[in-house]
Amino acid sequence: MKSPAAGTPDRQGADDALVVEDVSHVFDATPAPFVALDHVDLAIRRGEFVSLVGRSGCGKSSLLNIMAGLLAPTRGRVHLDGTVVDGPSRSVGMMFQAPVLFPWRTVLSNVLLPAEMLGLRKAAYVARARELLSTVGLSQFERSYPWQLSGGMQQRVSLARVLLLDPEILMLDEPFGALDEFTREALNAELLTIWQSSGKTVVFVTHSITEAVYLSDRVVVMSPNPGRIDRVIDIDLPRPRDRDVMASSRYGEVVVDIRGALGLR
Amino acid sequence: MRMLLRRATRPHVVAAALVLPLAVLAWIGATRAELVAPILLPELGDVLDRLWSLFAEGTIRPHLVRTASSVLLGFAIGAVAGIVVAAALTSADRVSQRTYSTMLASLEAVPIVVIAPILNTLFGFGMSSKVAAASVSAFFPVFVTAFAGLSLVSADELKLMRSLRASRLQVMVKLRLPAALPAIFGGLRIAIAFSLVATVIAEFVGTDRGLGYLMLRFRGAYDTASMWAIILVFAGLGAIAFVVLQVAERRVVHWRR
Amino acid sequence: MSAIDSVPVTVPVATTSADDLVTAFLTAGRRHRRFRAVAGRVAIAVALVLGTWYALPPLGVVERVFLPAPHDVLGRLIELVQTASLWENARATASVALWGYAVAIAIGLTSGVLLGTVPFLGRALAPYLGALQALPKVVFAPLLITWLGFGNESKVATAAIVAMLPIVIDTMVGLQSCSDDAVKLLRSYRTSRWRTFWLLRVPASLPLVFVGLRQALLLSLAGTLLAEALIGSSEGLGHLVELYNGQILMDRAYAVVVVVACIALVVSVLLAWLERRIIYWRGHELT
Repeated sequence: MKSPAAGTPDRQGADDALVVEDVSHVFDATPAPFVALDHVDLAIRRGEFVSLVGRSGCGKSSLLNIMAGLLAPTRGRVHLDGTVVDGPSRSVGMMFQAPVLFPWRTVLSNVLLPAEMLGLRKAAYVARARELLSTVGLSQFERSYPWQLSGGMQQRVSLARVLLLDPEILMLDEPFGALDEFTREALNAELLTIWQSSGKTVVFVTHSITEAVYLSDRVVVMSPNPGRIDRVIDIDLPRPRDRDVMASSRYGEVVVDIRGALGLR
Repeated sequence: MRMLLRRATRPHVVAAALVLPLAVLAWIGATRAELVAPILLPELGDVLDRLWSLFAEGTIRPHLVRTASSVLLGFAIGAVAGIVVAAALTSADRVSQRTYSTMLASLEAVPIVVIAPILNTLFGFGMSSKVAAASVSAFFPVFVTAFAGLSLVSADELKLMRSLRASRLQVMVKLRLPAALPAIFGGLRIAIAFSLVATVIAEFVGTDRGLGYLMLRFRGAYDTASMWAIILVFAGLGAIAFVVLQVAERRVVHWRR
Repeated sequence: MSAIDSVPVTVPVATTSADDLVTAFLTAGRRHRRFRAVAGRVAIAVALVLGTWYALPPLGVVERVFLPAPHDVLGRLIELVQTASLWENARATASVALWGYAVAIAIGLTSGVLLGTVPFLGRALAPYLGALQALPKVVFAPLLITWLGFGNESKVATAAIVAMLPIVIDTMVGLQSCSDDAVKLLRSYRTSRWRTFWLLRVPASLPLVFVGLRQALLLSLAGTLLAEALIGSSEGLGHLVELYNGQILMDRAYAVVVVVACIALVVSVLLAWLERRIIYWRGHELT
């Protein structure tokens, strides 16, 4: 049963960074196989900021992993810049809810991890790493260890790391979910700044509707059992999304709209 | 049913089930092909024969009973002592707690091997010295885990009990002990293994009866087949103890924190 | 990773003490009031123990012969420590224990790494490892002595067999203990399995591996002492205790026990200190 086409493949054009084509995924589980995704179609334009929202179990993380090439879908394909995804790509950078910093490495060494993993010369990237740390305001913690930093600071390091190789597409799986409200707001603003100045494509998974509306151009509402896309809502709020925008009635309407799509009152 | 079959035919489950038959085959093969010295690894058939006759002729009975009861009694005494001391220590002030728990825990480093001969001298060669050794060995893991478990309660939970005007004893019994049970069971599992080891060691060092005694007697006669039979009996004892504790834990700790 | 849960990793019972001792030593000097409070309590405990010790024989609970006065034991201890024979025996025990430890590490680490990196093997053998944990490995001692004779070989073999299992299990579980996210992170950069192993799994496994290594050293010592006690004509501290105990020279026997206890304690603290140096991120593991 196909979900209402959210961005159908026939719209596929040269300005699409990611196209999800009829993707389904089933997990082999007990007592019965679990349908994480059921015939999902989605097209994401270059430079767009798209959020995936939905209840637990709606498949948003699975979809993200499939788009990132970390999970092979049981059916369907994902196109990245025109080519079919068959594994992780250098043009995709991922960030998780946990900072996932190696505690035995310094902050700088952690940021340099991507270069190391791809066998690139670390020396060539040190300057960039330092620059990124400065962008996220953590220059003086270069030689600190992750556990000496707060949760929010650790996520900033994680953000710097994901930007080291300048990937065109960022995939963020509830990156600020474990942080307190204030830190989250600050990091959201930082993320937007980085996005706006770099023109990257961002796919952002979150539980928080307000966060999704604040950040995105489009919000993809998903539902569980089986996981699929219910609606895709365009966020036609002006940018920059400052306090006036957040206080506007249009903002409230959009949030209510999404809540309705999620089945909340 | 189909689901059960699917789970049962997963590769590692199949492999796990095959290990035992493969081991048996390897044993038979190694002895037939004379790959291993017979003094270390006798024919499996001989071992099983001896095992059978030990039980059939009742030779093993008094010794098995002695060892098993030493282990159980020692375990019980040590475990109860461990919990009681841990509970008592939890009511003390922080400095006392840290000091005494450290002191007790550091005593644990002393290997029971050197304590056992002395226990034999103090308590004689009979059952009491083995029970003493087993209790000492069982005490420490239970104490350490019980102490850690009893301290698990959060400040909020304590506040709740205080608001209900609960007495010290009530707090202990109704809040701390149940919360500590998973940890305590972990300690009990280790303690029963330790008790078994301690009893064996104590019996090796000197005893009038017990599986260790049998083992030494067989060693004197160079009867390795019987020695292996005793090893299998010990394996069985260990397995039974483990399973019993698992079942007990599942029934007592029926919620997951 | 789920089947690993079926192998209970033995609680590192000896670590809490050593950790606390190290911390106590390191911080004692700076907090005088704290130090006095702790010292006070230690004094009370020691006084209680000594008091009971002195009191038992007169109370008729046990003969004085079997429980010599603490000052007698102390006297013998000071005497013994100055003899060459004690240190020769100590060296014999130490050397056997270390050899047994080396063998246990060699076989244990290799097996642990194998089981930890090939999930199929780990999952297939997990139940048997659990069964082996329940079996007291010391029961192999008489067998090994029968096979290898009354020399050092059987002692080293006993020590190795007794010490090996914790290394295998803790290494295996340790290598599987890194977070899923960390593995995903590395996969997203197409990191080879080899590099993932060295750059992630190995460092992440160190805390658990060290637990196994610590337990194993104490177990190796215990195995050595047992083998020494079992073999009539031998050397070593285990043999000494047996000897003095057999001759009812209890003060000397207790003295040797104190020596053994001190060695065990020193070794524990040393390993704890070493662990703290090597695993400097202890307490903040990647979960």
